[in-house]
Amino acid sequence: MKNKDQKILQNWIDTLQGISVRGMDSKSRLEARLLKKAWLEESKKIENKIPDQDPAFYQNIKEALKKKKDKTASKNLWTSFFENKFKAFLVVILGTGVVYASKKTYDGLVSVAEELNHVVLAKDTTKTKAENEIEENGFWDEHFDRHGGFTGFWSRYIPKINEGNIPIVEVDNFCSHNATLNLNACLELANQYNSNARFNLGLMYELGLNVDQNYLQAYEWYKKSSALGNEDARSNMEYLIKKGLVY
Amino acid sequence: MRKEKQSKRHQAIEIIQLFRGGRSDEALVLFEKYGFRKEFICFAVTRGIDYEDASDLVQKFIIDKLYMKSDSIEHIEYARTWMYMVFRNMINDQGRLLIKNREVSLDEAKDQSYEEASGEKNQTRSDCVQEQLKIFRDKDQKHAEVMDYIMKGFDVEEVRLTIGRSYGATRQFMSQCRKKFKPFLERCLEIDE
Repeated sequence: MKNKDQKILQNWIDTLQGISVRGMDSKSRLEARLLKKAWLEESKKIENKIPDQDPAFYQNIKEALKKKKDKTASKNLWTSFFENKFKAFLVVILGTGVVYASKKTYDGLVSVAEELNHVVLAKDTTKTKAENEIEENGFWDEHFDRHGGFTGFWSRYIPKINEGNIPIVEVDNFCSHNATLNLNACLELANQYNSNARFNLGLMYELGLNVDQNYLQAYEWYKKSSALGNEDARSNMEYLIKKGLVY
Repeated sequence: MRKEKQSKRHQAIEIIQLFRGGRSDEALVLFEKYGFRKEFICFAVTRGIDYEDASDLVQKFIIDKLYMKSDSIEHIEYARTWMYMVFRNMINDQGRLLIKNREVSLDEAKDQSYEEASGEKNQTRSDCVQEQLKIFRDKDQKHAEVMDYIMKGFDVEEVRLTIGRSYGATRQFMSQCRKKFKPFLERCLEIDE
């Protein structure tokens, strides 16, 4: 549009909107004013036919709005959430992703404490059960019997008495040291319900000591040892699970 | 007039904000107080809808659009524009327009301006213009609608948003309104006051 046309248009618009314009062509001004007057009169005629007060008009609206409010309030959160299918789909996808990612992140991860609790040394199967217990257990078990009764100060001398009076001859039974672990020797002891022997069998299978490495077998032997009350076997068993070596 | 234009725009913003804030009762009071009921009914009636239907349509507009959809207004400063745009679309959607989206060319406008005039001899100039305005509305809804917006004090930006055209195209369209209505006015200018 040319500048002249632009100016004519702007003057016409201004006149229609009731803004006084200077330097406007008189004919154009007259046309615009006539149009404005006609438009106002037409609007006035129509508005005169519309009642000034219409209570029914607003009453209907209020009732409809009330119904809508009640309907909205009765919808529970779940329904309103799933009304937006895209939003719901997005949240489900994100949720699945988060679960998958966290599983992937934490699978095979073990804490430092669990790593420290993992016992990799074979247990001595030559000692008696009582000796092992004294060695393994702490202050509490040293001074109290398994029923919780106080065993007195003398109980701490038992190992010392043994030490002093009976010479201990180290005889390798092939199921006490990592280097000499033997499957048959350990199996024999394990069949006699020796928890340490069972633990050692588990260790053999876990580390592949003189046998083929088999985590499932290791897990089974740890389980059997733990059933006899071996705490280390239990922690090794948990370690295998957390590492994701057995499922 | 400029002040009124500003205030009308602000009144629309006030109403929309009340609807957004869940204070629909207060919004309805202001809707009546600021004369929007009459304004919208009038807008519908000039598009060939009878009074009762227009009143129903305005009710529907308040319930379905102002109450339910006012949150969707991106630019609150154009609340009035949004209201007119939505209401205009409602009229179109209802299929109640007697003459839909018709336009006449400038040449047609010259011919048609005389066709349907009543030809009353004692007609005043004002009556003549009103009659020609009515004929123009029937012949060319789109341009008549834009003329309505101009009369209501819409600026070019508001008209642009309402009709969904570019700024330049809107100015062009507004210019066409003037040119197309001119032949309709010519006859009335011959009548002496």
